[in-house]
Amino acid sequence: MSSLLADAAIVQKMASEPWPDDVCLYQPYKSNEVGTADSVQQVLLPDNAQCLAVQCYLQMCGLPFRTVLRTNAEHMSPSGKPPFLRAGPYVISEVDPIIKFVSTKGHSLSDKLDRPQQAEMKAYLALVQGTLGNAELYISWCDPTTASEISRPRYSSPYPWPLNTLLAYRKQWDVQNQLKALGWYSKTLEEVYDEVDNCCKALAQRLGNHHYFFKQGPTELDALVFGHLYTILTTPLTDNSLADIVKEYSNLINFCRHIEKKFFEERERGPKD
Amino acid sequence: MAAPMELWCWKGDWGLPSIDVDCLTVIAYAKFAGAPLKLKKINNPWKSPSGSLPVFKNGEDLVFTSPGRILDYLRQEKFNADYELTAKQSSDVVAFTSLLEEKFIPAMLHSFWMDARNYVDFSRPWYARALPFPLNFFVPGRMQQAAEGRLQYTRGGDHLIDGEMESQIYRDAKECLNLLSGRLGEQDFFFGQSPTTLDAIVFAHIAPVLKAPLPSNQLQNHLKNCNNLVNFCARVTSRYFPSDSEDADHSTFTPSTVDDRQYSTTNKILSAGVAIAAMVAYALLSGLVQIDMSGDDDVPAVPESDINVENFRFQEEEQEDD
Repeated sequence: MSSLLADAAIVQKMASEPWPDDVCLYQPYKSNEVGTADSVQQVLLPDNAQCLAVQCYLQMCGLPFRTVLRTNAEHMSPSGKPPFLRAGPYVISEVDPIIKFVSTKGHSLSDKLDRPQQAEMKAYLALVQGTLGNAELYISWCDPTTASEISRPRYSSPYPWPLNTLLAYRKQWDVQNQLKALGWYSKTLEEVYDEVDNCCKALAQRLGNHHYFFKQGPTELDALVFGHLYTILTTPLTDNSLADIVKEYSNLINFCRHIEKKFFEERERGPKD
Repeated sequence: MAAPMELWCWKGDWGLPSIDVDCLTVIAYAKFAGAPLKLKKINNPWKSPSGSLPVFKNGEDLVFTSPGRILDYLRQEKFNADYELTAKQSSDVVAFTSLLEEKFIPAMLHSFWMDARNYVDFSRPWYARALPFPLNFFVPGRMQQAAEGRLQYTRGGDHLIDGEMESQIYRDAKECLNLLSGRLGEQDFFFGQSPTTLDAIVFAHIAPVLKAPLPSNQLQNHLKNCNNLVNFCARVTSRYFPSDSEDADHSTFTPSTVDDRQYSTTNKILSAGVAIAAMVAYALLSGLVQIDMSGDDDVPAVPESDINVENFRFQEEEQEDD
């Protein structure tokens, strides 16, 4: 999809159209979603982080959208990864392309940053996606207990036998291959926790006691960090080690509370603005 | 601390102490921090416990293979290049390291290993020459497979059309270079006057791309346009690796001389050996030299001297099958 975005003619055409009214964000079912059967508890830690980051980013931009839950969101997505956005004739999946797409519509949160700050923001985005993203994948699919007790049952819950077993193992196989290629698969759980701790430490030091990472206001970095940290804090796993690492950093917890309050609770209270 | 700290690494070329990103990171950091490091350019990844270089050794017990661990150890041993950094700056180091890892490394792997021309004319012959005898035949191929696997699993996918992955990773890498160039600005090093971990890491990533004489190199062309990064590389090489940059003038490797030099004596002897072995094997299997063998184990057959040669051979084979 991002190759389409690179095409100047298409970008211009997209930019000339305003933000459509019927934008839908497709993502897998969550456990505590209102109006869904309790039996559908599908979304996993890594996917949920990405979905929440996109939701948060769109909220920050003040763009109206509707969240649509689909059990097969992963397979509907053009890149095979949830969430994806349907805006008029365009279907865009994953965080980075969605942010690029939104900016072609004239909504960008990072324009106000100067050049070194943009470089910093991109660097921290890479850090969060690279470290927290891979750590979430590792814990969900490479830790045998989590994989067998949480990830495979949840991932396969919408499908009948024998498809559920096959798809869950295929997914696990794919994720493991991806982490092998990146050198993460050979790490131990302890080493992964260390990586997460290093990442959180860097984020906490960068954030300080501010509300946002940059003094100019919220950016996509805030959205992505919120997506990952909030998911890590609120997702029950076989043990709490991962959440405990994040809880060591009180300013990150405050940061999550603040974003949740500002962009999620206020929206729920009042009608869509 | 009695035994000197040793680093087993890939050898250098084109004025760099090593051509491998991870090795170069450690070497540059050690130089910046003033750590005495004895380099052993063994060029043999099989001697490493993890199967890849670098290997850091301090005495017999302390062995590290990941550059991150090596740098941590050097810091513990008070060889610290980051004394002057604030907490926030240290975080920036971590973040920019991930940026290079996520955005730059894929394009680097692609241009060294996946680009067909670069692989055939440059990477494979370079590593084949550097590696010791039996390994040079298959280690370059394995390195290519590892690079291909990494790109396929992390950046590829069925949803991409042909060439889309390639254009995406190069676009990312170029953006990454622009960001680094913007971050460096007019400073000598990323955090002012003295080099830090980040300078070591950035240098290790961009210097091989800048110096390697790859036949087709869009990444290098883009890098050459970022003047401050080029100057930064020149500054690091001239200040910290003056001896290596002198060697660059009589560099041992340029793609044009690959063919003359690579097929040296060992390979000549080996190819002659393989050819002879193949001919002998063919001769034996097709029965051309059967008469030699028949003398030993089949003496009773000899008296029937008027027997047709064809039949004789046929019987011979049957007996052998039993």
